[in-house]
Amino acid sequence: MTDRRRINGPSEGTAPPVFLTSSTRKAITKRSPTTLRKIFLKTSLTPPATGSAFLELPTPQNSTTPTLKLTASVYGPRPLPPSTTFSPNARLTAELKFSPFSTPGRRRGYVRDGVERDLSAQLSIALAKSVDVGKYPKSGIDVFVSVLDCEGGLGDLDSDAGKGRDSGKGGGVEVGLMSVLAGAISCASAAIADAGIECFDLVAGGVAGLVLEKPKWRKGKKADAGQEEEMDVAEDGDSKPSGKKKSRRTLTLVLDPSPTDGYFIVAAAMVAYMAARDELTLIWTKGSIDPAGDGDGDDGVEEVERVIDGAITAATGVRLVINEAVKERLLLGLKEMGLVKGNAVVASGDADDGDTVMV
Amino acid sequence: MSQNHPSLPQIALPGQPLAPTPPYTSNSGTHTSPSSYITASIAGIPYINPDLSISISRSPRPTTTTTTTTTTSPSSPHPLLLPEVTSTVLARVTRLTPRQATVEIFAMMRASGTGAEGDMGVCEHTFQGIIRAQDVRATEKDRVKILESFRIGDVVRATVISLGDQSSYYLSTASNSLGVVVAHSDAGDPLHPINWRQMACARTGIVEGRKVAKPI
Repeated sequence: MTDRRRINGPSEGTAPPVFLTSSTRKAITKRSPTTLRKIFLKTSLTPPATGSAFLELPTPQNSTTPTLKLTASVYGPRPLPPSTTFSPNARLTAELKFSPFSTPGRRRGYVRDGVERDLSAQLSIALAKSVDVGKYPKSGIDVFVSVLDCEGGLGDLDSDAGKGRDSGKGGGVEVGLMSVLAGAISCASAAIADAGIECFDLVAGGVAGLVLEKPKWRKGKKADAGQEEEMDVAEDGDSKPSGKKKSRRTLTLVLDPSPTDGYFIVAAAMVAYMAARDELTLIWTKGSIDPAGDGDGDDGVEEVERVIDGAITAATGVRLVINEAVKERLLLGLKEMGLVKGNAVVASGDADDGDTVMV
Repeated sequence: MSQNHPSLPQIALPGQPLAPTPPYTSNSGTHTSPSSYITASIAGIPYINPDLSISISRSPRPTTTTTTTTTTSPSSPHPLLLPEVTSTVLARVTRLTPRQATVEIFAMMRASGTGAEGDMGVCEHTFQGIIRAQDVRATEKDRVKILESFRIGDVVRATVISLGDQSSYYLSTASNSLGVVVAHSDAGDPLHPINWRQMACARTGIVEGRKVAKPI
């Protein structure tokens, strides 16, 4: 007797599909340190939401290498529940959630953990200053960011995340969470603009890092352990020993560093930047720059400014992509209404394939 | 669009400066930035109104002669519509007490002076509102009886007088043009207005008390 209450699989069984590895693999040219990764950003992809956006970074090496993919959806302004107290401003809540399958190599629990809570709080800080909350009294605006894929290097799942895959991790400060948050901020800001919620400016997230000159630093580390004495262990609380040679210590600024790039990142900064107003809504720095390491007596302020300026440069580049994505959606809506002006369509001609690419 | 100021871009994005503020003022969809520039708040098409205020609309503004574009919108709910003080709303009566009538606001007209005047939009969410007995009519306020002014299920045209407390907006029907616009008798028959305080049933002739809005 067959079980009719459940949906049964085929009786003869199934075989999992076997995919051939693509032989026509694109040759990846290494990015220059000041080049940002291309960004795919598209708005209005979640129909029930008031506004939404999808952001994706290109796959760097092959199809199994993780990349950053996330969606943001904005709901509201909607009335607050009656139990809440009167507020003349809108209440913006932001929530960032990792999908269980988002982290490479390890499944993630569904229950909200500390990392998600921390990123949600930072996201809400970064966005709250940009939204004109005074225009929406007694209402709530809810932003939900869902991370579908992230590149690893998330700090909390430190060592075993990158194991078994040649992700080319270079060690040092983990920037995975920073790029997730930067992407989430940019994506959520595009979604807010897509919803038509009044805001002072669009916010773009940017990441920059200071890396040691030698990318292959970790290769020889195990072999000559005796050299550890010469390494100057930095005083950050990171689980990985981040060190630098006293003798040759040139720090290069890398914009938009990826955990798969193989850099040894000494310090990194993430900013949320409103380019038109020239204001920062959030700064997050990580790592430590040894002030006395080079012996010239500076206290590292210049280096901090350098990495933050780099992050602002990265955010300015991301801002162009957000602009294009918002503009593209607006022109598409006008075109659907048949009310678009002729020369406005021409302006969107380069963005008709939906792939908004910057140089 | 011939009325466009030559300096305005065809499409404005949030944060984009549009015009200096001494001659121009901000209107819907724009704000004044700290550097005293009228700045776009939403993505859309900027317009200069006759009073030198700049507003941004997400869809092209209907030209003054066309009436077809105004009838396209009411079918779909508008997600960004919030009751403001002085805006005219349509509300359905949900609860009656001797002191007040509780209503749910389901449609509203933009408040005057926002540039997008005259478009009645259906809200995506309903908002709770209260019409207190002293706000039902302008005169003889102490003689108002809520039960002779509204019934549950009536559709009322009212104006927002206050954002109210945490839960409800405060509404008023103290004007000739405000009050009950759609009502049904106890038997379910539609009522038609016979004067400003009474409505009658066409089938049975029963007369019921209402605060009736002046038919347009």
